[in-house]
Amino acid sequence: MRLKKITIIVIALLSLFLPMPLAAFDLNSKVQLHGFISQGYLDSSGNNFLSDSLDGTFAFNEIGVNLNARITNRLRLGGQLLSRKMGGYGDNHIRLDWGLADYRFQDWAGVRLGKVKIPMGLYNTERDSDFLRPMIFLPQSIYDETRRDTWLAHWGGEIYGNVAIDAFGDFDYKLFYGRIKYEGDSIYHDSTLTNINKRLADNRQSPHPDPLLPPRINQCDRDNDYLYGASLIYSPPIDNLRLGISYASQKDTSYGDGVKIGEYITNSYFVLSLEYAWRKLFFSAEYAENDRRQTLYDVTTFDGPNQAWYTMLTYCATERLSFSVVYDEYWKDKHSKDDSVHASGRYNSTPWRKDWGFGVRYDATENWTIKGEWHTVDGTALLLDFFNPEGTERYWQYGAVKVSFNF
Amino acid sequence: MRKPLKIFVMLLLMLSCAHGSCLAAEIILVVNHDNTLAGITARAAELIFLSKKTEWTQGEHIHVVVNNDPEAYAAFCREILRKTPLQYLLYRKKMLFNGSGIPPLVMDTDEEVKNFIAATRDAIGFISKDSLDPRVKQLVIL
Repeated sequence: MRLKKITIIVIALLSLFLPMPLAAFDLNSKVQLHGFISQGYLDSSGNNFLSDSLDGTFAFNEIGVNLNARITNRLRLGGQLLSRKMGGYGDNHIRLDWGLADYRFQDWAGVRLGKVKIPMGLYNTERDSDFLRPMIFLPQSIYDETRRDTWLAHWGGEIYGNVAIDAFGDFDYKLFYGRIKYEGDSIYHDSTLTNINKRLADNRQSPHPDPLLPPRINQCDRDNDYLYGASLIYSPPIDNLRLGISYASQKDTSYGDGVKIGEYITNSYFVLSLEYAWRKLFFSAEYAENDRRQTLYDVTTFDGPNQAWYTMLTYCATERLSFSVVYDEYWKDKHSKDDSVHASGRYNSTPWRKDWGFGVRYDATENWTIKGEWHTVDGTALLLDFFNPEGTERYWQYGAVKVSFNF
Repeated sequence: MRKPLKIFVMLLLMLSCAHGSCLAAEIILVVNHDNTLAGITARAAELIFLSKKTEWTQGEHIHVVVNNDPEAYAAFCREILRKTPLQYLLYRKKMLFNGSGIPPLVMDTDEEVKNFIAATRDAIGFISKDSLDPRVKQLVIL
């Protein structure tokens, strides 16, 4: 605990008194130390979002420090420590965000081993660094913040490279395989435990309860059996255009009080991506489907693809000031857009999420960024019952401001 | 007005008087005199500064240096990368913070860039055309 506080204080002091450029901590061309710190405020009306946000919360921060060392021209070692707080979660515990050995045989072939970011969509690998994107929140349909703890990095490896063909542009590819290590203190973990116990409570109260099911469980664990996938980003010979496709498949096994109780299988999850910058405009759009199946106590709780897509337009009024607008849409079940049953067993009459967001970003210096945004949402998909035990409202809003410093 | 909307509107008002600037300069690519290359395509230069091409034709590792002089940097981003200065800065930071690589070295002036390149056989950088001197060799963009 003491170490955690000291680390936070040291980084906070660095951020206040040492406004240095990107390279200021480059000890030499072979060793680089960098970091960031951000503090936000989150508020909402209608529903709690990610925390007890109806009352507004400052429990919304991230601190990261990374060290990279070029051992040889082909071999690099690096890692980043991250501490974050989102409402009651994270609690600024320090954990390894990514840490790897990277060996580049040629420009078109390299390998990274260790804890490696999962390259889904254009932006999953940079989710922890708020200052790298136009708005505070990435579109939730594809970059669901409640899964951030569990869908960011895997232990394993990836083969990667860049293939450049003069007349056709270049291709960045990644092939990855590994396992996700689920933390026991994530939002997703606690939400899952709550949902399972609600289902067990429903069983107890049903006219014909299954006698083989326990009345409740006190502990749930989730192991990832495997994760594999690929991503390809194509940069054609058109300035600032990127097209991407990424794919993943995974299998998880769930345990309740040490006994296997179910499985979660992602049969196929794909994201199609487009990003284009033209003059003062920056446009991005992504479309995704996640075909997944979950079983719990031999009952299939859902089976089929969801559907997610968004478009975002950013106007850079000046080099430092930009305005963004995003429309983000999510459907829990691509093939059935009517009522559905939530993972907790609760009936959900609005299993969609249609989010209009408006944001502003101001880069005061190369190192300081301030952002603000406001969203108005129709639908309650992706909202956790966990944060809204009294039920949810169909129409709701949320907004945030955040200040970030990086060096 | 609802709470999140109030916060957003207040922030907009706070930032409404922000200004930017536009700088112009002519820049050239420079390498060490021992580099046998006389010219390079704009596409190859772009790949090098985006860290997608890391080796010269003979296999030597390319040591890239970014010139942070505001005029030279803005001109380089516009003419070679066809990005805004902020876009290129964020590109390099992404590489750093998502674990995919170490971005190029950054130096603050033409003088620092020329000294580094004069001392580093496989280096490449960019400087203002006016400051070219015998310490470094201009690399023609084909």
